[in-house]
Amino acid sequence: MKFKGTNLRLEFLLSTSDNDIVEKLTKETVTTFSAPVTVSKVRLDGKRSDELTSLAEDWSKTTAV
Amino acid sequence: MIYEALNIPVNMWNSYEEQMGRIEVSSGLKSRLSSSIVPVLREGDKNSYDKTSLVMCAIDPSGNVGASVEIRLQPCDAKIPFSNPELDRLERAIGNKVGAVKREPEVDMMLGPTAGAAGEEEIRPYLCNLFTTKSYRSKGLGRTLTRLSSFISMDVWGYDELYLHCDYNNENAVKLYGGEGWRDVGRRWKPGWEGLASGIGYFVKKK
Repeated sequence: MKFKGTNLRLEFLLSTSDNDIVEKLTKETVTTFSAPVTVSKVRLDGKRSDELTSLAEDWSKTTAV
Repeated sequence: MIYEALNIPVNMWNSYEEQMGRIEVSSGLKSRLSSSIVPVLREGDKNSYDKTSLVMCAIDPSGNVGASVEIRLQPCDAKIPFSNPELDRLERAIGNKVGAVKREPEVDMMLGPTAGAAGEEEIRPYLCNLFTTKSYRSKGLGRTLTRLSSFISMDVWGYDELYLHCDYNNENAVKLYGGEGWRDVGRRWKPGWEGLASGIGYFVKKK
């Protein structure tokens, strides 16, 4: 993933039950985009839940489409 | 004086609407990440497609989100989805009873209609929640995340199409998607209560 001129890394958020496709997703993305990729398995409680709420707040402030 | 008095209920309503919007978006996102996406990808499972999603975030060193995009799985009926899957199913069910899906012969010819889009009930990837924070805008992140979404949908998951909605009043977005090969399908979801949403384009990117 080429985030030119930034210090951003890519993170995938998926259901915890999708562990088996994370590896393929990560591998193919890294291979194709030469990206620094980290994977987050989504939990619906605790810290990750707070982050999702924060992300949703960002989305709710923007135009829908 | 009377205008000042009216401001109080108006502000209260706006605050309520904003809070409810946040709750709906937040609960919807969590609900969409509650089931495995694999059965939908492998078998086209139409019972759980709306409880699955892939969110991709560009994260800065402090852990803040600089940009994000989501790929949902949706029927190709041009309906703008609710964040909450249950509300979305309810509205779709009602809309289907009144024949909400319409052809739009006068689509913007700058992009042109695309023949051969998937049937209305077919499940396909749907790009949404493309978002970039102010400090990371004009760096090509939106284009990169759009391309990444196409790559995952088509090259990793094996679909031949990816869909999105785009407001024609959003000139930058129309320019971005048009330049990336997206075309208006010419299909609209008009159940009768769509309001301003009737002018929003339904676009497809084909492999």
